[in-house]
Amino acid sequence: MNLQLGTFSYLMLGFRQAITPINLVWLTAGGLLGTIIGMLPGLGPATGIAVLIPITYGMNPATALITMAAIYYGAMFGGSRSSIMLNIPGCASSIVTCFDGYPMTQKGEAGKALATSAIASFVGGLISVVMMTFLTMPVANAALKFGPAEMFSVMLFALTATVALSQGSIVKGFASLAIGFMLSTIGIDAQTGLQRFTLGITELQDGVDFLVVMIGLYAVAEVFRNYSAIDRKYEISTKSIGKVFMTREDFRKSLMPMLRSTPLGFIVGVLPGMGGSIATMMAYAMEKQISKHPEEFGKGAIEGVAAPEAANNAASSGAMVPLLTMGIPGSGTTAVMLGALMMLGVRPGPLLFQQHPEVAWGVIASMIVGNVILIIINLPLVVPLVKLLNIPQRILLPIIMGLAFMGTYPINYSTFDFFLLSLFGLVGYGMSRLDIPIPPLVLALILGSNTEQSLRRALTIANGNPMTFLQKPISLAFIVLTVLSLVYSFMREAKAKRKRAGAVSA
Amino acid sequence: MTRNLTAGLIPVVLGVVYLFMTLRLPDVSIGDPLGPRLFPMIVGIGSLVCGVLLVAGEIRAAKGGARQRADEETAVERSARKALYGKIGLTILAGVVYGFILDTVGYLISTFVFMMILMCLVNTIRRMVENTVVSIGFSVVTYVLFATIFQVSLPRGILAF
Repeated sequence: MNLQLGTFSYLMLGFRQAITPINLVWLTAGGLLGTIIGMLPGLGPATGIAVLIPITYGMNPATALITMAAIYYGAMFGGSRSSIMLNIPGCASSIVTCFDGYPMTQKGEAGKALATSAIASFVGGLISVVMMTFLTMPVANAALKFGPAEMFSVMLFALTATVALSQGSIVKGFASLAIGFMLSTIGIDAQTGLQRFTLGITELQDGVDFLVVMIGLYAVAEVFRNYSAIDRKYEISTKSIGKVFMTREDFRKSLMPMLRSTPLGFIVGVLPGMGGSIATMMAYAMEKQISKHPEEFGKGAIEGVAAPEAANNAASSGAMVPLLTMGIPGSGTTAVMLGALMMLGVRPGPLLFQQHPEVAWGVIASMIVGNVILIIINLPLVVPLVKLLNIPQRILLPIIMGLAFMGTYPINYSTFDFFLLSLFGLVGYGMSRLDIPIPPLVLALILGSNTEQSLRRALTIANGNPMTFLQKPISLAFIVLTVLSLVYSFMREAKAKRKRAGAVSA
Repeated sequence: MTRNLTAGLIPVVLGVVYLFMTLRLPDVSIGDPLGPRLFPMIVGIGSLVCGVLLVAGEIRAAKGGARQRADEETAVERSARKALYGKIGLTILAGVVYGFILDTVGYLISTFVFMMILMCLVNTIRRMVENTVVSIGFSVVTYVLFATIFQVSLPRGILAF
């Protein structure tokens, strides 16, 4: 069958799912909540989704997935607000937007910067979803043929790359990964029924609930971190924003940067471990390099807002590809989404496309509709939404903490989870104090059981011969990629160390 | 003890304890005998190696004298850190208390108590009106949302409605 035609008819099936009234309501609500979360400094998308998990409890799988995706790309719309208004990024992927967004505000062009960021987010989001529709079918079809050996190698690559391609110490990243794997092995072993590492605690027989761990590591720990800045207050005068619009000239200047940054952001988003923040940095650097007036960058160049904003929305669509087609998250945020979905009994992966195409394609179609809704609500609502930045931290933080606890209880209806939640809040705080990255732990925890089972199944099939991972071509390819990403990251770290040493001696 | 040293010792200790527990797992008769131990062995050794690398790197850096002792904190910083740890400790205590009373006194009261403690801690006792409004508002609104939209039944406890 013609592949394109297949994709098109599936997409139509998805649209029918996406525009049911209940899904439209949650699509709008999710996008709006995401915008607010992205906007508030100190509340990243991972924390936002972790805190908002309770809203999905009564939902059917398709609506839950649609809502969570909307929160995710909604956060990408909102993240730039505080970058532009206050020079404080709302989340990691809007750091770059500060470079030119805030200078524009200082020049009295806040309205123009806000409009540019919303329109660039829309363009990046929309075009990248179109790219997504063409990529998901081939990837899901390929993943369908994966046996245990291939699955193991893919997960090994995804996990290694998450550590290797992210910033910070690689060894610490692997330590974080190992701790996540340790947590994932707690409980009854699926193949033999053996109890492992439960320390005799009955509640641990079913394993450590990854949702509780994630809410602790992200939401609770994030509140702890923000305790040191309780008295921080943001003063925003909405009068100074001016008119929220772009002139034809502005649009002409930003169009090419948007169109160039979208594919870049999308590809970076598909890769594990890179995500929005790296996509925005690369897009910004690229635009500065090819610009005819690079000296204007950093002083309020409109391209410097358009490029990263298109890139981070495109990256968020890209990140959905491995999540939906293989069930492999490439970042902390997508890992939290996966955790929430698994609790509802949805297992993203190639089988989702085969058995429930209306769910898988419903999400993709909803992302197109969602981007349109977001631009419609975002342009006129920019001013009232920005006012939310005035909520003082000393009221916001207790509410986030309350939401974290309240959302944890219905997961198992067990107050034991409150103790786990507090414990992992403390662990998360400690990890950030020690500069140990949190995403590897979360990814290892959620993928650990699958990784172990595929490893053992592959070995059983091959009569215990570990060479099986190198004998199957697809598996071999991913092992090679794993090794390459490792070599690359260690070389990068060695280079950075030499540079530091050079700076000290000089 | 520097932060990097701590960051190295944690995986070492965890790795050793974990490997010890892995070796003590009983033998199983069904399935593959190596199975339940293989993956934990790899993970435990991995953790140990990471930890040792971090500790070794830290010792090398200390010997080379490349690192100055920049971690000297001033009296102001120390009192700020102590206040922060105090807040974190009290929050965790409040969470544990919440866990113990939720099933008996019910969601509305226990959540109110929990929020009140947090608000007093973060928003200070001086702003009591704000604290009360937010705490009551939070528990009532979430209770109603849970009961209606999300169809989750929460423990009612001593309030019978």
